[in-house]
Amino acid sequence: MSIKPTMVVLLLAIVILTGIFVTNADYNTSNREVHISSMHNNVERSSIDPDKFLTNFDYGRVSVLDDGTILREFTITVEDVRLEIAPNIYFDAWTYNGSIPGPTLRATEGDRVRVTFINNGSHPHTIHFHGKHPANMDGVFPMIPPGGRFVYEFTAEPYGLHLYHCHVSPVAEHINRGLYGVFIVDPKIPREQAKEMVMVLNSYDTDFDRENNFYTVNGIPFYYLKNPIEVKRSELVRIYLVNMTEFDPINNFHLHGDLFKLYRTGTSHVPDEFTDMVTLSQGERAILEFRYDYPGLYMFHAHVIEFSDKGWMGFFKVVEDGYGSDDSNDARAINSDDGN
Amino acid sequence: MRITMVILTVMPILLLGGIIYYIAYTPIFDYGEPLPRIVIERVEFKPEVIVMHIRNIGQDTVTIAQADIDDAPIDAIIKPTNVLTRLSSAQLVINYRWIEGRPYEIGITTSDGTRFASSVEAATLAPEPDTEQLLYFALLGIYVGVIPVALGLLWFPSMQRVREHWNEFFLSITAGLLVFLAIDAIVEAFEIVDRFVVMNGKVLIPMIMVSAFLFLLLTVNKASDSSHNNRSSTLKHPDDVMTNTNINNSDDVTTDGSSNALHIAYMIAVGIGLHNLGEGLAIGAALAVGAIALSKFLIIGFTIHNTTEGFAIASPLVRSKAKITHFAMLGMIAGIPTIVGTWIGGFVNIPIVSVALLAVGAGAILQVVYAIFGLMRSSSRSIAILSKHNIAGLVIGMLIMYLTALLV
Repeated sequence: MSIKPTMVVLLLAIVILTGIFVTNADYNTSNREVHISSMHNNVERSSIDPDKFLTNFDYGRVSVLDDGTILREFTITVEDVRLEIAPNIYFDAWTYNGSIPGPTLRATEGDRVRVTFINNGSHPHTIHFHGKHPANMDGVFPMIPPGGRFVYEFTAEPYGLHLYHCHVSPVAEHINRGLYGVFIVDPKIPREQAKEMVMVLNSYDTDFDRENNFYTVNGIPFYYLKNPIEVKRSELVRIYLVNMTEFDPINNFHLHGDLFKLYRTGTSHVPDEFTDMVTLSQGERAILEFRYDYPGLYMFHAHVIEFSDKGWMGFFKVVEDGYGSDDSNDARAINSDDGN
Repeated sequence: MRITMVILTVMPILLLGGIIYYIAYTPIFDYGEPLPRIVIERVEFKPEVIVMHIRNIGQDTVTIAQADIDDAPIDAIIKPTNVLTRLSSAQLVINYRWIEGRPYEIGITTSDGTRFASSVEAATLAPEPDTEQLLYFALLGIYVGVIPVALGLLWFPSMQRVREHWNEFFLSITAGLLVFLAIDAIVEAFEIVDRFVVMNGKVLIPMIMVSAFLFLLLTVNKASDSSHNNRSSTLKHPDDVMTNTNINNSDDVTTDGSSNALHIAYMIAVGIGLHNLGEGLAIGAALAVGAIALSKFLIIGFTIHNTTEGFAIASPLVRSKAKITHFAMLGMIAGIPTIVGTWIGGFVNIPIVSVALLAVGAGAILQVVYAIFGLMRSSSRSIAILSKHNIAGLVIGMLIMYLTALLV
């Protein structure tokens, strides 16, 4: 008599358990597997190309005005693009000219700069340039509505390393979405001949919780770890380093195996420091100059380990002058046993 | 006629199908993409490896792009694939030199950049279902489940010696104990639902509870109906089962009362057994995922807490002449599920199983409470179930459980 309810309940439990096991059995029967890795997998189909961006300088369409001034004309278009910013991670970006960061604009001090701005995005945007210019060219007002155009025109001054970004509120959102780029104003007396490169420190908050999920140099996490930047031994290297990281108040840059001359904001010919570490707050930038004395692989990365863990690290591959790599497997060897 | 009938029956289904098709393929109702929803069902720590079990409970297929430990991206192998269709599950295997006892947060990021994470309070080596571990868990189950119930049953002789009117009071205390256990099971079930986002779990709990309650009511009544029918054919309504002693002639009162009491004792044992199954699940699961650092205090707490369960089983038998074998049986029915629970919780640990078992347990226990009131009505021969004594007993019963639960 009293066994019955026991059995009923047990039966019920067994039925439930069996059901659960059956629905859970799907992965146990299969031997298939997929490797997921932000560090080792590559981004495909992306319009972000850190290699190209590194050494790509846009000098504009050049003409000479009546008074002899050089006029540089640029066109910048805002586009909403879904970008693969890390392996298999797609970010609904707002971009200047389709990529993050926007193009590196370059002029010489005293040049006339004319930027035709076209907003093909779905939100109002502007371009706010750092540097000297009249208030109506400051890119705060007016906001350019979707489908709108505006021409920013000013004289490039003073020489230094500047930047540009959208200044529409909420600014953090517009920057996180990717609306920024580098604006270099060269001094009239040129700097020493060097291998020049641009590095923009940026971040992505992909789930919009005001905390970054990725930190990168030039748009893709771990890119230069997988694709070391080749420089020649004893060649002068000049980095235009701009911090566009949003949400985190600071970011920094640490160079392995060497020290660099630091020119804050690039507004002087005299270096401010000789160091291997520079800390930059949001929007801050500096020019770095160094030469490597020994060949091999040297890491550069954020000394904020959270940032380097989330993508902000890379390698310089220093090679002997005259020929290519002598230790091409180094990067791969190091890549495959880091992590843990 | 029959064909018309079939058409009339099938028509609404066909129309429904048509409307679903229309909604699915018309652009009118496109309000953007549904948000991805991934639930991390379990995280296991194995030697230098962390295994994470995930399931896509969102509406769309989701691609897992990245895994991380404490927010730092980490390489992972995902089986069978990183593309998860609706409700499908996958296993992430991460090679990682984790540290015993340290808290970890394991996360995954989907291709749209959304991150899902699961926190582990203290990493503990996941128990492998080998003989040693099975025995260890069984031992644990014996200590927190079987022994306390048996100890509680030892109160029986002293309970028999107290005066008759205390009998009803004991029963009301038992009802109080059981009400607490049912509430405890429900709360636990809801906690699991919150922690693991079990599919529609919050609806599932009362659903299973009510079903279990009604189902048991029906079976139990059927069972006692058939057992009483030999002697008494006067029973018509199921509600009369508990009050049949009032209807039957006086010769049958003792035998019937005794078998009825035994019956209720068994029901209490089953209800408590189910509860202990749930408790075992919780202990096993917590051990497996390192959610609790298992301390001696915890085991002592459970042991004291569960001693009251033996008392609950013994209380209806005070005026009956139950054999010792029945006591052994009752103790086992109530206690042994704890062992089974620790095994399932430790080695299987699927949240929805725990939720379902806890809800069944709660429903069963509430059914037992209902039956106890029936027994009290039959023995007191009055309708005054809600007497001062009974309510006091109920509250005291719950308080005893509450206070002993503080030890856990």
